[in-house]
Amino acid sequence: MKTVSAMMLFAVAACSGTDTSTSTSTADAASGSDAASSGVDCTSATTALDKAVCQANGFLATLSSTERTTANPALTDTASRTRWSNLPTGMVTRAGIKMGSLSSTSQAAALELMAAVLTDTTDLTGVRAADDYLAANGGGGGYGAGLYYVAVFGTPSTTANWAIMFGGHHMAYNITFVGGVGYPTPNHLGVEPKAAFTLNGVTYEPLTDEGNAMVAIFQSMSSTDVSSSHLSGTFSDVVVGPVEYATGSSTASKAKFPTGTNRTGVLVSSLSSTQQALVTAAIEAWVSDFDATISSSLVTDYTSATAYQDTYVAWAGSSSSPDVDVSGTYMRIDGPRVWIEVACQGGIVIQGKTHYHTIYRDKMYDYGNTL
Amino acid sequence: MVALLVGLGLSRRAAAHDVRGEVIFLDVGEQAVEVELSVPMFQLALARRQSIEQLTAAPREELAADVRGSVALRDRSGRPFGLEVGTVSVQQQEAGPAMVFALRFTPPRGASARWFELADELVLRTVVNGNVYVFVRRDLQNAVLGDSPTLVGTLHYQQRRLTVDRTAGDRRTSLIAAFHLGLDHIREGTDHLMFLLMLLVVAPLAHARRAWSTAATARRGLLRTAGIATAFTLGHSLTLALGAVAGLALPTRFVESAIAISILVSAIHAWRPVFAGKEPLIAGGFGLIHGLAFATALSGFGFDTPSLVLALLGFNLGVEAMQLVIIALTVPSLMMLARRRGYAVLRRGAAAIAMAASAVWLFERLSGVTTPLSAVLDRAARHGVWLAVGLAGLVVLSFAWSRRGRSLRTVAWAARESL
Repeated sequence: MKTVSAMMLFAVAACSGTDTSTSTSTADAASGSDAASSGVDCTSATTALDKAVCQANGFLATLSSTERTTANPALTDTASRTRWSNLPTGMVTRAGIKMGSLSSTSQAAALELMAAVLTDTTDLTGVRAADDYLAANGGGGGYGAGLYYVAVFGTPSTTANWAIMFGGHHMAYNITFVGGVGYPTPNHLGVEPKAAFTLNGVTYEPLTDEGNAMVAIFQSMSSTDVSSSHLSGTFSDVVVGPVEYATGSSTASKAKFPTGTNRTGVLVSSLSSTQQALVTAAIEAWVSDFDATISSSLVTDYTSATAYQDTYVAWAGSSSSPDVDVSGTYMRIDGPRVWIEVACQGGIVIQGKTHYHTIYRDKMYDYGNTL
Repeated sequence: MVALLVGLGLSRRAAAHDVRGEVIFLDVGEQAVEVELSVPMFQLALARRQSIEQLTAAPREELAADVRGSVALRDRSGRPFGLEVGTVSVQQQEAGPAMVFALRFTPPRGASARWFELADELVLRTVVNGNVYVFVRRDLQNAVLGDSPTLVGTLHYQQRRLTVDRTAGDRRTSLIAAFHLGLDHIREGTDHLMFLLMLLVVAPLAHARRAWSTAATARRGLLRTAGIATAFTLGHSLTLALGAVAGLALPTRFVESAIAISILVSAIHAWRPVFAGKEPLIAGGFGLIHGLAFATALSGFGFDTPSLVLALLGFNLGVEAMQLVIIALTVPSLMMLARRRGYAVLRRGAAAIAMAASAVWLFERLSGVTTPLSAVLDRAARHGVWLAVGLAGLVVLSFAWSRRGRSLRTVAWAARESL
């Protein structure tokens, strides 16, 4: 007789295909520095949008027709647009095509596409390198820089809608272009190890600036503010993680943003201008990683005086103030639109150390407000 | 999926990942709501503010009390359902160990078991980022039959209550759903079908003492087929009813192994007669065992007496309808082929396959070890219609061959006459 166990159900729901190959990439793929040339020439692109469109088309052109079917789903494939997670790709499937299965030309083209929408690729490179590091330090074949997936939804265009997804374990980039305007959320980044690590002679420290920027906010606070911004309850992960996985809609995630009395913490407009600058710096640590044409208007919206009158910073955890080396430490920025969380979890592969899960969302414009 | 995780070296590591969250399966019936509540161990430990070791050591009564204080169903007037906590166990699931609670909620007097407001604070009272996924797993009235649960809602810190309304549907939809359940159950029941087919394969034949011989008359063949089918139907209907109504149940391993034996016996009988003339008796006798297996398909639906009778009726009708279809598709071909000279090859070939399959099944069911064979057979069963097509094809071929033979013989006779 057939029985359905709880987790098997999710396995069935999550894994529509099978990901049977182990990581085949090397640090080259992670660092991108010695990667093969993509042969994609976008030097004639004038604006960042033109460049993104050019790089996306260039990437797709490097693919075989079978590869392109996987890497270029229709924009209407909404279930796939929400197929991202923080978990390793062997546990939860992703949209798009696996980097490790692509030729080095195609991989280079994919990374150039991401470089066109990001001013700062150190997090992208560093999190992939961290996966290689985990694979070599106890994690085994379920981790690796090759186990990251890239997808271009629809037809890249400066006017019509299209989207980019890039991610895998501890990473999700979801950039939706609506009439030429880019929306960079939901954006998940996590990393284990949290501390600096060296791989093939290169040292990486992704998310250190994000983590430090958040802690700095609370370090600047008076002890009264530190205790009034402390949330009760335990946070073992971010609240609004990939809750909408494979549903094709943002309903599930929108339902989890706090409302009413759950919107609590210290109001940013009540802080000094120096402290507010720290909040701005923290927001920029996520948002300004994206190209200025995408991020600058968002930063303006998120950090305006009006926005700060409705933006709360809060934290949780067992220590007297946020300590990122204590498991269960949690920090967040909760604005009318901006939503940033950092959760410090216990180590999975590397025992005894905490690691980061972070999420950056826009309460109104996740997926460009198209889902 | 487990093999995949092990292959990727993730099996132990995966245990620590916060995969999803709490999962609730609801089996909704007329009398009660059966709930299977499954929480990842680490998340329950966090919710109870203790270590996993402390949680593992917690006495069952304490955990049951925790659940009683945290999980509730209420009717439209806010009155709570009665709650019995059944088994509390740790299960190793794909994503790691989980604590699984079996709960039974009964509605207050006068209230329906099909409408309730579910509240679950077990994890959410502490773990702010927790999610509780609520599925309806069985609800016959709405054709949810157990093998593909429906997600009806998610609880989280901002939404700790969920209204579950399963009042749609009526007796008619229950009957239809039960009918489909019966149809599917025998269509996918490779073992039941194999037993039946082994008996049908020899129904058209007469027999000398210890060997099968040529075809009996068509009338006799048809009568025998009818006798076998009726006896099998009576047998399995009886134990199906007893199982569903009186809760008659034998250990699954025994029933499944006995079914494998029944196939082995009927396959041997198809090779050479073991109980010639007594096929209906064997069909009826083993039918009793097969019926016990059918009864498990109707378990977990929370029937009251009227809905149980209806479900039984519908299910049985479904089984018989599919049985008739299978007989109609195969028996005419078998009867025609039985007159052909090569029939013994077909008969013994089929018997050999059935003997091998039943031997493997018997091994699997007794030892608990799964072999790849069951997957192969299940897939073959899904394409069972090709068997009927194949048989019909053989009939056509055999006629063409004999016609060819006849024209050759005519030519040979003419040649001889002319010489």
